[in-house]
Amino acid sequence: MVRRFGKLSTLFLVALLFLLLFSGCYAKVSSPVDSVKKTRYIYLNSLTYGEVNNPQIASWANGIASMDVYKDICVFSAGSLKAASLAPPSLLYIEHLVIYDLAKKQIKSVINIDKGFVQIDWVRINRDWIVWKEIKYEFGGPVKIYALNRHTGEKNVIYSFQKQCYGSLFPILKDNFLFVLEQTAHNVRKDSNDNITVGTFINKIARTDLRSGKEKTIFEKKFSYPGTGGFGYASVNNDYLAFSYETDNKSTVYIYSLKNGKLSVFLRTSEDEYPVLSPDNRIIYQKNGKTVISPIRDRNNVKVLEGRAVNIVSSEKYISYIRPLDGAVTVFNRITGIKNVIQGSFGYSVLLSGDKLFFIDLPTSDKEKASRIIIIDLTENRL
Amino acid sequence: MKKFTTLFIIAIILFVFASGITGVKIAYAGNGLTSKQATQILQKINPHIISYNVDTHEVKYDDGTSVFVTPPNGKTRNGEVSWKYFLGQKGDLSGWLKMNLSEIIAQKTKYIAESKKSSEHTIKALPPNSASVDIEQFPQEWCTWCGPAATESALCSWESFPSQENIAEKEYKYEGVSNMPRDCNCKGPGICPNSIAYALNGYARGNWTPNDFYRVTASKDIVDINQFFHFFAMDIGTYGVAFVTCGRTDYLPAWHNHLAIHYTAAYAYQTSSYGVLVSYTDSANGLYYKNCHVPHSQDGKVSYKNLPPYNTVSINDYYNYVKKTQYGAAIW
Repeated sequence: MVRRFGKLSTLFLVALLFLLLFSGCYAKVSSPVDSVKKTRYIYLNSLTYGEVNNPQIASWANGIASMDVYKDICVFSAGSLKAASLAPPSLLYIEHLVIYDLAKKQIKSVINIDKGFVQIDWVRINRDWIVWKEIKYEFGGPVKIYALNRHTGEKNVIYSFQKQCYGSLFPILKDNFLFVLEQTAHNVRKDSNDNITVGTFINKIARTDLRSGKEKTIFEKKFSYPGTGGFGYASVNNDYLAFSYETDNKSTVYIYSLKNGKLSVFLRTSEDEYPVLSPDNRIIYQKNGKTVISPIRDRNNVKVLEGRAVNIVSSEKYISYIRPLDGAVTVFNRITGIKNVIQGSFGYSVLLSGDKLFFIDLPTSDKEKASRIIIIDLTENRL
Repeated sequence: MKKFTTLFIIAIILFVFASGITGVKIAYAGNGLTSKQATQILQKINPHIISYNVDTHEVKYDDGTSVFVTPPNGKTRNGEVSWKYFLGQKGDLSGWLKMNLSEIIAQKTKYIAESKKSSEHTIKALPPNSASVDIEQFPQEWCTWCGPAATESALCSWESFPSQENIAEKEYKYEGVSNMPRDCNCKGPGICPNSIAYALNGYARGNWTPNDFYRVTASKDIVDINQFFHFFAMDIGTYGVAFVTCGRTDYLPAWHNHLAIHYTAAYAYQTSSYGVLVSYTDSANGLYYKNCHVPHSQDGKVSYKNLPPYNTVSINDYYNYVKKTQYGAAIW
């Protein structure tokens, strides 16, 4: 009897297991479909959202230039927006780096810009590091890139260019490494206005180990001035670094494997693609005036997401971006295929962290004076 | 004893010269006026002025804004206005907005009628719902030349085609800048709105003054978006000419939150399902296509190669571009 009961209970357990498997009552991982099924237009005011604003930040925080988020820590650059020169054109001052604890709603640290510099920009954070860039002019040097060790509080200059830096520097933070896309001019001759007339330009991606300071070049291309060539955009995930390299007539998207160091060409076109990687190894880029998505290993499998889009970011569940046509922050749910266009804001620097969407919102009414950071819980708002 | 007295007197004279001469010069710059005296004069004509500094030439208002005025017999710089002109304007540089709408229309109509090119302009009795003027975008030749390039675009609507080089020369000369900058990083000085008005009036109507058909309205003086729309309705809609503005680039979607002050030329408006849209030319792609070959702004946000030469945005965005900075202005 006991043995019979044992058999029955085994059968019952097996049946239960089958039932669970077929009914979907297990930890199912939904894979993204990446097909737009429906577009909804919603107003920011109809959503539940949080905000970080002036004077909550500080009375001087009129403008916010750059932002990044790691778990509960939001780091951003903010400043007075005073003009660096009285006669336009002129850069506007962004003098402070702010570390904001979202859970405690506290400003933890404020770093001030070095004397002689005008803007703190390209702020990035991960578990161990905060990285930012300081600039003085619209273009060219002097430029500094800092890395702050979040555990020791030690602050180091990773890159410092006074004159030799010619193009923009794009610092990309990944774990303990910083990829810097740089353009430098060598053996140059200049005219009386300090402009280069002859020289060799080197476009290089260097990977610096922030712990040791060791640098390794992973990509390099040269051209003689006056010619053209430079980096367009770059993005990183756990497996790859994707970047575009542009000349006058063509643009090439390269994929660099972080695992084996292999460099391969993803695409060559006459357009500027702005490649953005998703965590699941898809690549989002611009094609024929549209924003499309393809798996890295199946580039002919192309799905259209939107017309032109800028400031694209991706998580496993969402893709978010700005539509240049109307400046609307847009959130595409990759699982449900629903695209939500958020109206009633002037958003920039869109970020996804978990199920939360962050963006900088510029003041648009006569009453509003300063930029603020908007935080939308996408799950709570059923987006 | 006599020798000692002479030496003592010489020493005192030397000491006075060595220690005080600079201070005396600064304190009495501006034809002997001190900052305090100059402030008192200006406060009599405009109670909103809180201070004037004879050293920096800055006039501060009680709303936190400021303008720059050359002291009497002082050397002009940065395109600032003269002391005499500032007193004549009663310490207020709000341009056309000191008049009411009917007075502005009467005065602008008179200027257009007087213009040598009046036959080419059709003055409309009422501005239409949508209007556009024929202008061309000109890529700026150097980093600080967005002002001359915007002037060049606006002057197309007057059938006036001076070179960007000539416009820049006129504007920089008016600024008091002798070595006109030709740089690729914007290290050199730019152009103040007064100098833009000066060149626009000079080339369009032969009247070399900042106070003619085109006048500067500072952002602080623009009351609201409805008033701002009148600038479009009047210049583009009624008189068929373009105008120049400067403001914050982070309100122009093509600039991707880049934070700078920059000139553009407004040439069209239309009503649509998105509301009122306005069009402007942007010269900054010249940083890639002209002399500099600059691929991106140093903050990494703007690709000059891809910056559109002709742009259409909502009037709200364009209004905020001008209004949300103390350095914003419309030269209309």
